[in-house]
Amino acid sequence: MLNADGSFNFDKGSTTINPLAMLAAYDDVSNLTNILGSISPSFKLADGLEYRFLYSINYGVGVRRSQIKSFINVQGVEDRGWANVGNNTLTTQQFTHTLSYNKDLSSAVSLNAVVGYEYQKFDNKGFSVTAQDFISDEIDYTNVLGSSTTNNRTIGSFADPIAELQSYFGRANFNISDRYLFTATIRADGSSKFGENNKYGVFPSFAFAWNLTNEDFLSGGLFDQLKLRLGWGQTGNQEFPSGSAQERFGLGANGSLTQENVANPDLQWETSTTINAGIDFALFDYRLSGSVEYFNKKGEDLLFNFQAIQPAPATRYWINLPGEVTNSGIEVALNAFIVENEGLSWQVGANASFLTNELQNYEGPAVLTGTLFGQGISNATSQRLANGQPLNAFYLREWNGLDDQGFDNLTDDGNTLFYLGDPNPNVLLGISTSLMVDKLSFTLNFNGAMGQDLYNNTANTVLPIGNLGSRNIDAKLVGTGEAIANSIKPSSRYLEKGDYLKLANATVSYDLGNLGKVIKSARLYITGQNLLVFTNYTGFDPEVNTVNERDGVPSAGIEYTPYPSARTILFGANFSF
Amino acid sequence: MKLNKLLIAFLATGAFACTNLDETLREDLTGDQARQLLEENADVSSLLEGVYNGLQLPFQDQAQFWAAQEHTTDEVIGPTRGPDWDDNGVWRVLHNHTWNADHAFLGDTFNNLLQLVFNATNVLNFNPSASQAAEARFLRAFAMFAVADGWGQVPFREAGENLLVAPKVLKGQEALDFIISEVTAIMNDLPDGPVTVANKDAAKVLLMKCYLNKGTFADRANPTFDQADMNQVITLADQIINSGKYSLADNDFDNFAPDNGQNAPELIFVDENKAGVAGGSGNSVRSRWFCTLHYNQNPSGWNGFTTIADFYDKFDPNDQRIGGDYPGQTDVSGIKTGFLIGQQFDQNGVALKDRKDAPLAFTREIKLIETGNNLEVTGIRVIKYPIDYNNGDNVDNDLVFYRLADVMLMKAEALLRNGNEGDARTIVNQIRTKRGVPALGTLTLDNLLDERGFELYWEGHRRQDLIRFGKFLDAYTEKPVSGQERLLFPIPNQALAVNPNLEQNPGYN
Repeated sequence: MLNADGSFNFDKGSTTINPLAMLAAYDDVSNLTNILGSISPSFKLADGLEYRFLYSINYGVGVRRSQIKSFINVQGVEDRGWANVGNNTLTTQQFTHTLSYNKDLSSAVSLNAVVGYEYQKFDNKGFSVTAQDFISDEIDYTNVLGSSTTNNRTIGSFADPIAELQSYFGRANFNISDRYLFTATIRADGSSKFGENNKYGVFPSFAFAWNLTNEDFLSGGLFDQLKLRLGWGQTGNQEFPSGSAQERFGLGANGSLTQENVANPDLQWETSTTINAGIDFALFDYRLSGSVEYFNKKGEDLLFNFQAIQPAPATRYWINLPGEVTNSGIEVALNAFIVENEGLSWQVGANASFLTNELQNYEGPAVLTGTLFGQGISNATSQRLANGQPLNAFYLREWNGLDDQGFDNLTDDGNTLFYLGDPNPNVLLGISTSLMVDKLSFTLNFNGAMGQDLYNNTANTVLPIGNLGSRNIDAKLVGTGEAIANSIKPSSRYLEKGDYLKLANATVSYDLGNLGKVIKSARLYITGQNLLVFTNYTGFDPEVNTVNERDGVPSAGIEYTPYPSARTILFGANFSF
Repeated sequence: MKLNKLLIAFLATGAFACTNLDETLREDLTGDQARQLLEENADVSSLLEGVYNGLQLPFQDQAQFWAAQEHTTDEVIGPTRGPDWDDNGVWRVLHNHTWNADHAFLGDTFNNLLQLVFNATNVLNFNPSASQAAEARFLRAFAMFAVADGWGQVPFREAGENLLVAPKVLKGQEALDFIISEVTAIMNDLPDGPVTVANKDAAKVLLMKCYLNKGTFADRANPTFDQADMNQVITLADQIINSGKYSLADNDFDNFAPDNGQNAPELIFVDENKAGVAGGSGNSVRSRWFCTLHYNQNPSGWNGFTTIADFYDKFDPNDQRIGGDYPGQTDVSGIKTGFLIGQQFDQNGVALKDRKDAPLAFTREIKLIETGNNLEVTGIRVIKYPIDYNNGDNVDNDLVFYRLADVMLMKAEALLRNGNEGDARTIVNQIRTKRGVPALGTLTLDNLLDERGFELYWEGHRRQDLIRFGKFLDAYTEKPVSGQERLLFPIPNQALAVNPNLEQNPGYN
């Protein structure tokens, strides 16, 4: 790392970067300023009738100054230096008016109703300047951008279209004798992003619950609580870039003007329709409680960045995809107080969701996503959205081990790709338990997921055998007989089972009670987060979240050099005066 | 009462304001605003400039039209070198003719060429002047010719058509007829120059290419050459040659040097790169040297593409087009122009090493998948464009589309195909003498194709040439004999799915 004289040890012109030198060469400072404000007055207009107004504003500014000094052997930076100063401002405003009405209509029937109006406004803009070629490393380049060479400066600024949302909504709850509970809601959501005719989407929902324990035939029986629930409802989604519905002409290099998009004035709200049915129950004086629920959520008119019909001003445009995404499954939750005595209690809770997801009734071409990163696999994709497949199904060459010479053995020499994995978990798990012994208490929380496949892009392109002699390789490759010249390529070799169970946090605390007359409810605790992971996944963390999208189509389940999740241990004391 | 007053005040101050949700664009003009600007100013030059900017991505980037025309031939190979350049096989399948209708770069090229067609057509929607309209229609025909050449089918919209509706498709002969009629119609309205804009002589070269390839586009497996078409080629070539505006450069590489658009005497039509100015999107022409140079050369390259020895070995060792020292380049970095083979040196004559400390000596041998210890240094590297060391990322070298040597060789070919070997040979020998190689005793189709290779290598003409000369399907290094379907690229599956008027080309279903 360092030479005898304390200077950094690296060769000019070499592509091997000394990490210690890189740390010294690279500065990246971001300053974020957020100002939040809100007021929320309310007025009682009549018996049971209340008006409330809410206004809030969130103004955030981020300024980022970064530089890479010229002494480092980074391609394009060496002997030149690089600096960037950028600024981004996001202002979000919201106001809401609600009128709520609470009334017992008779001794058995009560009504709770709300109508309201809501408005939100988003304003996002910023600028950035990049420059190169600075003569002194002593001065922070971002302080002297003007001294850079003119041919190597880039200036950019942007201002997204103002995005506005406007909603009218109403909700009514009827409660009949605490036995039959009806809820109905309706929202009309409007968004400035949509075309003239489709600004609004109307999304109703209905729910019914039957509290069986309040019926005569069950009262005083086995159940402390037994409730049947049924629901149907719709929600809307407008997650796509502003400016997609109307024609846009953009200013470009050399004083040019170009039509930028295929306007789609027919764009409309994406709709999710959910049906759910469940039972909640409690037994043995509430010592055992739980619920079982079936759900089926169907997404239609999916907002999607789709292949444009050429000749066109852009390669893609936003449409409502003719197809459906179905998520369905069962959720089970149980909670038990196993021991509940003075000075000793033990509670255990667990919940599990079993789910499947699939793209259905889609007749268009498979949509590629899951772009992989790293040397040797530029532009390679690993996932597809295709009819009858789960979302983001892995579509890859099939790897059958190494051949005699230590090269990849691929089905059909890698010329055919196959659906070989699913990044979506089939089971989500949560387990919690707490034990209290006198003043001492222990709490453990686990979470986990099973059935998902993960793509280890880090192992694929950052730690390959070809690094031998220059950089680190994956320790697993030692002794496999893999040829050093075996090329880096995407294949099912890097698909791994992502099943895991994590001890998300554990807490031990001791309750000191009141100390003297001044300090009250004193408590000492130690909490650990991310303490244990049970998994066979070999990457950093089975909870992966690298963004590997392509053309704005999201990816899932791909790991590429993420920051390892932190393990934290906290010691603390709580008390009040 | 006080509360009620407050409430009324709230309502009155507009806190309850409803909006009509009109979308305000802030960095773009709406269609109406653009129309107003263009029609009030009665000047569509800004829109036309956008069309010129649109040339960069499809024509200058290393992974678009150039890859389609060159990687598929004996001039370029993109080997996988251990950890580098697998790229899911995109380069290999181009060279060994196993691409399919999901090929990422071929699909992107198809889209980006047609985007250029759209942008050029769009100019016609805003009352351009006669010469602006002619420029736009030339650029449209130019892009359509590239699509017709590659895919044999050209989706086409009239100005102002609804973009949500699938357009008609001009197929085969129909597309070429349209291009010829367009170029003929606008010829007189085009400016005489400069070479950086659509000009009369550029239109003549495009017409020459249409006539020369007409019988090939009609039946690529059995190209024919109608005598009248060849006469058209000869007539158009004579108009260009006899204009006296162009002459062969003393050094072939001057045609590609950083100041080529202003100074090189051979150039007829180029895509202009302005020093220090970022033009369009995609990699600029600097990718031509980055894609081939080794990491340890200056500039540090991507260590990718090479040519094959089959191609290199055809050169006469005295041919100036094989390259050598070039002022402003070799004295800066030691890099020569033309073909880089054997030990490489820096500007002080110090022998360079590769990343494993072995000598940086480029080999004749090249494989599609390199597996040896020397995988970093295999293959003969090619420098067609002298490197611009003065303008950072935004280099000054203009991308050459059309130049005199190509026009002369096309004329020679037309003469030869019409049976006039003597006059054809005279033209070819004129070029050979200028390039320092002995005159040919006889001109045949085979040595004429070779001559086109010597003169025009890495300029994006090779696929079209090999098909016209019936050699595209032949076997050469790392490529077996390929099937007839390879004479056309497949219509990209994504394009096929959104336009039912397109049909998949035969052999790709």
